[in-house]
Amino acid sequence: MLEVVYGQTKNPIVTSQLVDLIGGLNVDGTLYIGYPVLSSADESIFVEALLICDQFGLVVFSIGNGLGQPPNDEFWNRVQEKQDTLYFAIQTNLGRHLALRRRRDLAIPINVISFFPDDLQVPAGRDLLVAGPGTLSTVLGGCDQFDPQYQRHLNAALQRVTTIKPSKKRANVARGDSRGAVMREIEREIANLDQWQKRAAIETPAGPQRIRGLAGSGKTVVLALKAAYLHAQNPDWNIALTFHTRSLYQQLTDLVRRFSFEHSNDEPNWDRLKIIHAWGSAAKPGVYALMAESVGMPPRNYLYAKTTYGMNEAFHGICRELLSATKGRRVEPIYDAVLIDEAQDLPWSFFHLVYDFTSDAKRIIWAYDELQNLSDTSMPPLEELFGKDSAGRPRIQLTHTPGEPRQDITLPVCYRNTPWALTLAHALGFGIYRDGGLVQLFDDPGLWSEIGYTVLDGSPNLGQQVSLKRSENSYPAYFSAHLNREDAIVCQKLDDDDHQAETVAAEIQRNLTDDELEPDDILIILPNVLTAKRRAAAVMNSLARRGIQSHIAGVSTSADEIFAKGSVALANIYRAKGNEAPMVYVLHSQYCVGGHELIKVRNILFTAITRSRAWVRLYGIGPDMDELIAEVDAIRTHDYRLDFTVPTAPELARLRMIHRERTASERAKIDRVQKTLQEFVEAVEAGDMAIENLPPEMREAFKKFFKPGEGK
Amino acid sequence: MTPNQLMAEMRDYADLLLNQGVALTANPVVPQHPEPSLTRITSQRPATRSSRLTDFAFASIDEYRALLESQDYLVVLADGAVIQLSYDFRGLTLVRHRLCFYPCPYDIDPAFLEEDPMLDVVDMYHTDGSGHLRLRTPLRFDFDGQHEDEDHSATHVHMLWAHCRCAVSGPVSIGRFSRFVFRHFYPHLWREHKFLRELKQERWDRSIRMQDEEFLHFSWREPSPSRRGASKQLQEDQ
Repeated sequence: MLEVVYGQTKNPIVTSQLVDLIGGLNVDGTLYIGYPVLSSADESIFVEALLICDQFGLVVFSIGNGLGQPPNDEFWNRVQEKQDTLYFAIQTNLGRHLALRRRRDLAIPINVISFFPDDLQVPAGRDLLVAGPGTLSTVLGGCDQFDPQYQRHLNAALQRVTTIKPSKKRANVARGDSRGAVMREIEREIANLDQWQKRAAIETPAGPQRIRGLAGSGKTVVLALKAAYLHAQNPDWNIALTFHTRSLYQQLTDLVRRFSFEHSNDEPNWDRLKIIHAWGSAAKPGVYALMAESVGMPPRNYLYAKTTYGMNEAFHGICRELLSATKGRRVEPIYDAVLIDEAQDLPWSFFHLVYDFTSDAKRIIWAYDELQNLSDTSMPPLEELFGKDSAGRPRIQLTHTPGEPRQDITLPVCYRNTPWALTLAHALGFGIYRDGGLVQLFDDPGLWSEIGYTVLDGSPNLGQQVSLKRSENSYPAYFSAHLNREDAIVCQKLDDDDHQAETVAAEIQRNLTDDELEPDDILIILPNVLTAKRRAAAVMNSLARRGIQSHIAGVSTSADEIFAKGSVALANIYRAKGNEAPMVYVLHSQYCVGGHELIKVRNILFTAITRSRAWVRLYGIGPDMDELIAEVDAIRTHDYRLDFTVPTAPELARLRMIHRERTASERAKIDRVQKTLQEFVEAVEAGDMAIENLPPEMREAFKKFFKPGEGK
Repeated sequence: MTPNQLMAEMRDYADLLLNQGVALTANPVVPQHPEPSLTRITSQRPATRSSRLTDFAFASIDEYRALLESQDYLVVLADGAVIQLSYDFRGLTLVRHRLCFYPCPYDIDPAFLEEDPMLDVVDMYHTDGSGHLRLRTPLRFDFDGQHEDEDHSATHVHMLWAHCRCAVSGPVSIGRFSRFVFRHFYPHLWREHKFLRELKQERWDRSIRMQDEEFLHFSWREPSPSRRGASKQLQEDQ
């Protein structure tokens, strides 16, 4: 079967002719359209199409237009020159891979074919492979194949985006079975992963694209590569790569730069490709501020936004202001393409603005993971996210046309988390085994398989019973090879604050000695942002008494790197987001179990667990911890399956309503009512009051509430 | 008082401020040895932070920002004010101290400081213009038993200007320093939190010279044993 990866093409008509022709040849392999730019010493080279298959070997295509006049000598010279350039570029690129060399030569023969919409006759004496519709199969048939033993390495070289993380040296590892040794193995294997989502990175429609994926599935990598790719193909475009978590800035810049160097050996032109925060700071204006300035509106500052709209609505508030100010006005686009990471954390008003300020093709690419939203606002449907046009039609629609780049991509493989931790995170996030029933669930039953679950039994459709499990190909093999599920997850209740601080400090001391981990392998997460700074201090004291250095990440500024060599990082959940560590301790996990705002706190728990690359420890105190332990035990008893009944649509809506995030006054109201009811119950129990003291209509209403199936 | 006793007292003090919600965050208290025979009891800033405090002018916004950035403090109070404490001992003898109360130069909504990174919040106010800016001086009580000259009393307080060295009658204990700060600058906390009024006040020998006593200076009377009860009663009333 021929797999076609659709990148960007400058010559769509002839390219699609080529795709059709190769498709008709019953080829088994991959055809890349618009393979990322390669470098020669002094110029960037655009590879229009690249075929790799058993039958014909490695074939590089140069794609030409139809000719108005018969080809002359000058024309053939240009064809020759282009073929030579392509040849050397590919040779240099592949030659960097040791596994593709045979002694001092490249082991892969490179075939370069110039493809034209007409069948051209190559003049005698010119050694050129030229094909048209009538001659393609013959010309391909004459290509040099490669030795099958190189196929795997060749694919790896072509598909590998980049070495994602330079693995640590881990020079302190002496024992073969310590946690440090395990991490060394895992890191080695990650660096050699064959398929770092290159396909998703290359596929570029001439319009909007949505990327959904689990935590750790490589969304950020894909977006960074896309940005570098779009920039390399279109150096004149104004491209913005934007995000929500400030500390992502460095990571994104590094990724874009590395990719740019690996493929075009050049620094990106940062005037055109901007890695820019959605909101910005006083020192560095963000996308919002640039949009506002471009229409002559002074951008609002933080203090205004937060004071006027409150913490949670601040950004939404000022984006709405800008939207109303530009309403009905013709806005001059300032971007040709906008890529948005962590889209789940940005308000719809921002998306509306991005739509308005992006040029007509609306190349807006947004990536998100719904469960990593730390509030309860779920991703709105497309017509709300980007709005409707004057005729009431959604301004952006995602379509899938065969033979064109996909507009909707899901990344099902989770490279970061063990399958057990990920299942645990989903089970706790949704409340699958929660005593009081589900907390939330996504509406689309098809999403389960797209995020890498297999249906073992039943059906994930609304109202049905289902049994789900991580599918075998949804996680890399290194997890099962090096880790065991019992040790991967530990959930423990502790007596009090001090006991918790002492326990985590003692465990970390063991991690740093017997386990041979390094301080920056460890991340301590404090889920409640309001108390995090205080609680962190207690843990730091316990660590300091053991001579272990630690620091609170982001206590002074959010732009700081979270990890520091030689020091254990503590962070609140907002600061931990977007980061990962081999060993993750979640303290005060009980905060994420109950309360009025279940969706929010369960999402926090989900986000915390999915920071772990190998081991996660859930610690906490108080009675809510028993509930959490029971839920974790249930996941183990169910052998890391999700067995539950999918709610019906009205039930889902009801869940969202009950467990939503509340404003301060709503919270106060709930507390007040609870207290009054508590007083009533106590009064009745003490004999001071009787049910009959309540007015009859109230008694009737209560009766109704408590009748099964009739609650509101 | 031994260095270890003082370390325990400083730890308890930071824990109390944190647990009672008076402080927003704190650093661990540790013994350090800048010279072989010298023991310094102070807070430990994260190893990941470097101190660049000498680069900034006394009582400047930049200096305040640098304190937050380098995380060089024992505690940060809920309003963004910073407290630094450091005591040096040679053997069992107190030879130096440095006790600093550095108020936040802005009137900041404490909710912001609680939720967001502190420096980001300060910068947010900074860029909003001078409306929230307040002219507040840091107070730094220094004691140096070895260093004394014409205009340099062994114990003195820096305020308003770096060269200001207003004489203080003797070394200042954690309790005495804290009582001064909270009683005068945070009367609502002083009333609300009993522990602030009950902090122990260690006695050290007076260090002030006669010539300094003739000028306006900081001084206090150690309650005599017979008057202790009365003094305590007085504090309760305040």
